[in-house]
Parts: sequence; C-alpha cells; structure tokens
Amino acid sequence: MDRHTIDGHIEAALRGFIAENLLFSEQGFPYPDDVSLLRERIIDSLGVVELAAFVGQRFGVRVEQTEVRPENFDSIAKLAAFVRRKQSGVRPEAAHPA
Amino acid sequence: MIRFSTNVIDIDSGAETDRIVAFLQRNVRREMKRRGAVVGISGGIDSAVVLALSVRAFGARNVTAVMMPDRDSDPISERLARALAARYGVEPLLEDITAALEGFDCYRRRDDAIRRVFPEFDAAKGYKSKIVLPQDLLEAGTFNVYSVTVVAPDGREETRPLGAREMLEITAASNLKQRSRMSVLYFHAEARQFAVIGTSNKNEHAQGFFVKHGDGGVDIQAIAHLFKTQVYQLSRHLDVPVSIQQRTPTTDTYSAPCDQQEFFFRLPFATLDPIWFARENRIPVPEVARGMGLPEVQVQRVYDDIAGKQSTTEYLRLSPPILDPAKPAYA
Repeated sequence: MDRHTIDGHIEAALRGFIAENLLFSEQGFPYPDDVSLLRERIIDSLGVVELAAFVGQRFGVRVEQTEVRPENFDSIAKLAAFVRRKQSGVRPEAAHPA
Repeated sequence: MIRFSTNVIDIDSGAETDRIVAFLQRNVRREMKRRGAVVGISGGIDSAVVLALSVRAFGARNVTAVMMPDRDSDPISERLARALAARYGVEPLLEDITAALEGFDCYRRRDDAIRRVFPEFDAAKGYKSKIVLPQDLLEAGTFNVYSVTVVAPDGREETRPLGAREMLEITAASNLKQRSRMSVLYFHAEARQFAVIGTSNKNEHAQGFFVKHGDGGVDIQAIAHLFKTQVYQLSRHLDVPVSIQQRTPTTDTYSAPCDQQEFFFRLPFATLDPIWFARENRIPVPEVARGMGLPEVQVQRVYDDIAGKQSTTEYLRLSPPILDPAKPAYA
C-alpha cells in the first residue's frame, strides 16, 4: 500500500487514470467527483473493465465481477468509497496505518 | 402527442414494403447506376426480409444471394438460407470463408485470448465458446461488461469475466469474419455491377451491433430504420419461410450457440422495441411503465442502456472526417 492511497488521495489517482487512459486527455479530468461516468459518457463498458483492473492493481483490492456495478463504479466519489470499503474489509491495517 | 401502448410500433407492412422497394430502386438504379443487388443470406430473419425486398425491387435474375458460413456456423443456417433462396427463385452461391479466416489467423488469435481466461480451452478437443453480457438489465443497473462462456466437450458450461485486453483481441479476431464476408459480397457485386444491400435492422445499426467495414460495409441499408419486431411484421407480409420467422435470432459468430439477447440486447425485442420507440418520441417514463406493466425504474434502465449504447458506438457510424478541401494550407 503506497502513501497515495493511505493519505486519502484515491480520488486523484482515479481522476488521473481516467484522464490519461480513458479520455486520452492532456487537460486532466474536467468533471466533479460526483458526476455520473456512465450518463456523461466518460467511460464505456471497456473503460469499466480497465477501471476495475486498475483499481485492483493500484489499490491492492480484489474486485469481484458482481461488484462492477453503477453503485460502485459510476462516479469518482462512489469508486473511491468502494475502494476504501474494500481496503478496510480486506486489509484493516491499511485503513488505520500505524 | 403519441399515446403509448405495446402495439405502438405496428406498421402497415404493405405500404412499408412499397416504400422500401421504391427506395432501393431509386438509389441503386438511378443514383448508384447499379443493375441489381447482392445480399448475404445467413438463414436469419433480417437477411431473409432484405432478400425478399430486393427480389421485389429488381427481379430474381438481378439478385445474387450469397451464403458465407465458416467452421463455427450452425449447419442449420445454410439449410434455412437455401430454403429462403428457393422461396424467392434465387440460385444461392456458397462461399465458405473458413480457409480465408485461417489465412488471417482468426481462430488462433481468438482462441489464444480465450485460453488466457480458460487455459484448458481447446477447440480441437471439442471445446466451444461464446461471449455474453449480464442478462439482468430490468432487474439491476449493470454495465455492459462481457464475460466468456466455455462449453466443455461433456457439456459443462462455465463463465468467467473478460479482461480488457482479452475482450479487445476476441472482438478484433471475430470481426475478421464480418470483414471477410464484406469482401466476398463486393467481389460478387463488382463482377455483376450490382450494389451490396445491407441487412442491419434499427436495433443493430443504432445501438452499434455491427462491424464497421464488415456487415456495416454496404452500399445501401434496406431495413436499418425498422425495429426488429417491425422486421418480423414485414417477414409475414413477404411470406418469409416460417422456419426462419420462428428461429431465435442468433449471432452465429461463436462456436457455442449464442442468441442476440445474451450477446448484446439483454432484453426480448418485444420489450425493448416499444420502450425504445417511446424514448425516441419523448413519451414520459410513467406512461411507458403503465403500458408495459413494468416499474418506472426498469423503464428508465432501458432508456439509459439504449442511450449508452448509442453514444459509445457513435464511432462505428462515423464516416472518415475530411478537412475542408477549400481551405488547404497553401505555401
């Protein structure tokens, strides 16, 4: 677990990944964290798969296919909350580092 | 204001047939200066209707019907296609594209990607495969994330999620089939000075269930303005063989049987089409929900799924952009 995650900057990492890999944007992620990624057409189904793989690798959590749903993945805010829930459940020590 | 009911999309099949026939004649003969039509026939309802319309427009001797199976095709498809051609007095041509696809390494490229998900997968030992979407669109808001299903020789089925790389490679390899078929159709069209008539319906064209420069590579689209349920209505008027009318719509692309609902649409057409019509005509969700006997949240999910597919597949319908030829950057 790196400091990026521990310090609560999950949202920044997600914004950076989406901007670079799904929007192909050099201007960053120009939306608020609660905007619907699906409704605003920011990601498509392939983007969801890439995002799920990124979350698993970057934050060290196991993402089940049944968890790849709009209530977990449809905004930066929802996804960051999902990652924090997974981290606290899977690795309790990561949520409260010494 | 249109009042919604489940039969709101019913068409006058006779008048619609006349309209399409005139459209084909005007564009193919007058605009494209082509004498007749080439239609790829699969044994499915869409190509059956397009063949019937083409024969009405140009006469049987000016229509070439081409069957293009590969080694994954269901043998029933060819039998149905032959019955169809016989119904309309057209001599069908058989062009097996398996050797061409082997030349493109289509099967190895696709199966290598499947093996990264299912290491035991071996087509030579009788394993079959297909890719599918979640089938609970009405019940839950889900993303259109594909999984691969493998059927073992003993009939056991197992489904696992696909990674992005595997999804892209399986799709790219499979699309070689539709693009090979497009090349074969254009060979026959150019050799006869005919036009290639597209067989995509509205569900396929507008939601992106086609291959760019594959089955989307045609000279004119005959039924791309019609919902699938409207294509069935036309098929009855045109007297398409009942065996084709009753066949479950299939992709006939993957080695394991795979219908279009599990591969792409996620709903029966009888549910999808009226809701889509309602969305296009801005009929309020509560009225649609009442008419369909569904909760409003389910109708909204269908609205959202349609909008999402239309938006994310816009690239498929996009012609190559060209800079303004009147304003080149002269030295």
